[in-house]
Amino acid sequence: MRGKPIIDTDKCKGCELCNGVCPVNIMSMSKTFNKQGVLYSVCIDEEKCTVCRACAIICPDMVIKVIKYEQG
Amino acid sequence: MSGQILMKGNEALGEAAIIAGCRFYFGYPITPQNEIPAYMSRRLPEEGGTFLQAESEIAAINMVFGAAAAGARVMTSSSSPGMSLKQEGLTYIAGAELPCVVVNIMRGGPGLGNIAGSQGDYFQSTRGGGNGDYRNIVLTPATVQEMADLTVLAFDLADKYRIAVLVLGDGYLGQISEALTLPKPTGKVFEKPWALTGAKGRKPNKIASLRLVPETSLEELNLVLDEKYKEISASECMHESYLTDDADFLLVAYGTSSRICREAVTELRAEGIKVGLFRLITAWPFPAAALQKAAVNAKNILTVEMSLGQMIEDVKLSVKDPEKVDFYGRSGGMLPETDEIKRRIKAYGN
Amino acid sequence: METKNFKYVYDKPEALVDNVTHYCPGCGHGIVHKLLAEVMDEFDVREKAIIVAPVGCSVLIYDYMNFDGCEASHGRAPAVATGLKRVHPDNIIVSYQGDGDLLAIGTGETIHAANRGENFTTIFINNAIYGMTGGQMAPTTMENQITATTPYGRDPMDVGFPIRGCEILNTLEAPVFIERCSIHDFKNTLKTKKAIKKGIKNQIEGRGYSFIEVLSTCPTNWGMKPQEAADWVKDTMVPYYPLGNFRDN
Repeated sequence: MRGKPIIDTDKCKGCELCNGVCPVNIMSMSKTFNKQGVLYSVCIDEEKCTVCRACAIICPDMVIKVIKYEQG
Repeated sequence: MSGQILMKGNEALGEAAIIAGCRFYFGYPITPQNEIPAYMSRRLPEEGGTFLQAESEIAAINMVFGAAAAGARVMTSSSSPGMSLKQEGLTYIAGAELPCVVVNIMRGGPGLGNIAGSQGDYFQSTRGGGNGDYRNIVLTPATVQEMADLTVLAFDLADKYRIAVLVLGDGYLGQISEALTLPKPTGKVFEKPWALTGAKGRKPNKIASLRLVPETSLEELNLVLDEKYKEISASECMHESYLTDDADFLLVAYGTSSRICREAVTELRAEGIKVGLFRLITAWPFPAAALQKAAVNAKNILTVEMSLGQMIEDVKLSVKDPEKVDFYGRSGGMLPETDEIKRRIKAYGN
Repeated sequence: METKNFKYVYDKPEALVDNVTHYCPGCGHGIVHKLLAEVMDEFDVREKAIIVAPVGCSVLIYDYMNFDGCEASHGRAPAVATGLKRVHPDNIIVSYQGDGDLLAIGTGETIHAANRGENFTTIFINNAIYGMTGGQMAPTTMENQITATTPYGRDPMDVGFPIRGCEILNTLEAPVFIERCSIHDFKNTLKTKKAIKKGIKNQIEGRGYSFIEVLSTCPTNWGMKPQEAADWVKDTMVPYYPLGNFRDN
């Protein structure tokens, strides 16, 4: 596991743009609603995350931060 | 008299702005105020300042908005049709509470009108002029000396109250040459912690008139502005009373028309007729209390304007007996005549 | 549970305020706001920056940027930016404007600020519609595009063809940088950031006027899902508004 997106689910407006840009298709939408009343972005398989940051960069609402695990 | 020089009204105003510390001027050519931008374009570079001829009146006033937001002493000038275009910027300046000086060397209207002097923009100047609930301070010089003196004052008032101050002259005042003593800088310093300078070591500053939630913050802003306007009304009214104490008849005027009235007073007094002149120096705030006092013993009040009757509404609102208030005006660039003023005053006496 | 050391490889820029914007889901403004904030951080100029907001959806951009901000009346951001920059030549001034602001009501201000080579940076958001007022025709609305004021589609014979901002400004001598970008996908979003970075760099170096047009989305007023809107930019807007650099002096 190289890293993963950290998702501030209550800020998510549910636009789904992160779902479209993920090169390994691990971004999806929740089954329950957040405080804003929308289905929010979730990462369904963190193991596969390549730490490419595409989901975070395309997110219009600063919902996603990305962490990378240090070696060793 | 020592220290006196001969200058055109428009140029004296320009020099006074520089004396007051104005280092930024943005404007657009329009007659009869073209001597102001020409003068500033020559003088400001000598003082390390910036003169910029804008692409339009609207651009010029919005450059003033930007420079004022940046904390600078800044001025623009125009004439009546150009002032119509500047109203957009002026209402934003009022809402954002920015200090600046705006000169209107009035010409005849409506529309393109003509290029001769006029006082047809009294309503536009004293009632705000643009959209929304606001006022500008309006100073009305009557001599080249006052064109200079009131311009220096305008910058201090603008900074003191964070408001646009209009110097309301007319084409005759702009073009006339008279001797004057150049004013001295007042030396007053106004801190501007609200100005946009970059958020170094402080929270970001925002300059805006936008208040999206009507029930809370816009009315709050309107009330803050109202308090400010009340304070200005209480503190900054200016007028000149000329031989009013014993006057049976009172003339009320400002600017160029007040000069004609003064001449009429002198000539009528020589004939033994007790007439006086109440001259506005601020058109907003209107010196209502002083006028009321000056008018108490007058049998008749003649309002003289270079329009078909605008200031007369404020005169009627100020005096105890509005029915005493009469009107004489010329428009379209024509001047009121001394003889006609005298004829009317004499007619009251009969 | 095993704990590992980690570092953030994507974090909120300091120049961006940590709040929820008023923008609709998927709106391109949010993306460009972030890019601008990142660039301000990367040049370490947040404390010198002043954003000039337009009238339009991004009228409140100064509430989202963690630096000084200034209102401008509709279309006048270049004039306001001119006033600010002439007083504070060392500050970093950005006028952020939409298509109605920049190419309809403010066309004059846009062209003349560019023509004077004012040393500030303009970010032009072209989303082919008026968003704030409810989806009316913009100067950049596409031919046959249906909007609130072109219910039968934009008819160029009646209301003219969509205007190309970069191409117009590219006729002027003064601008040092003109580029059209898009945020319809990840790759182009990175290119957009690169262009904004160049625009700010030019200003820091005192080189003159930089203009970055960003093809953006308005899912709400286009009546599309955000991803559909991004695809519409690629398929409909990009062929008419070609991406790329027009000038890099």
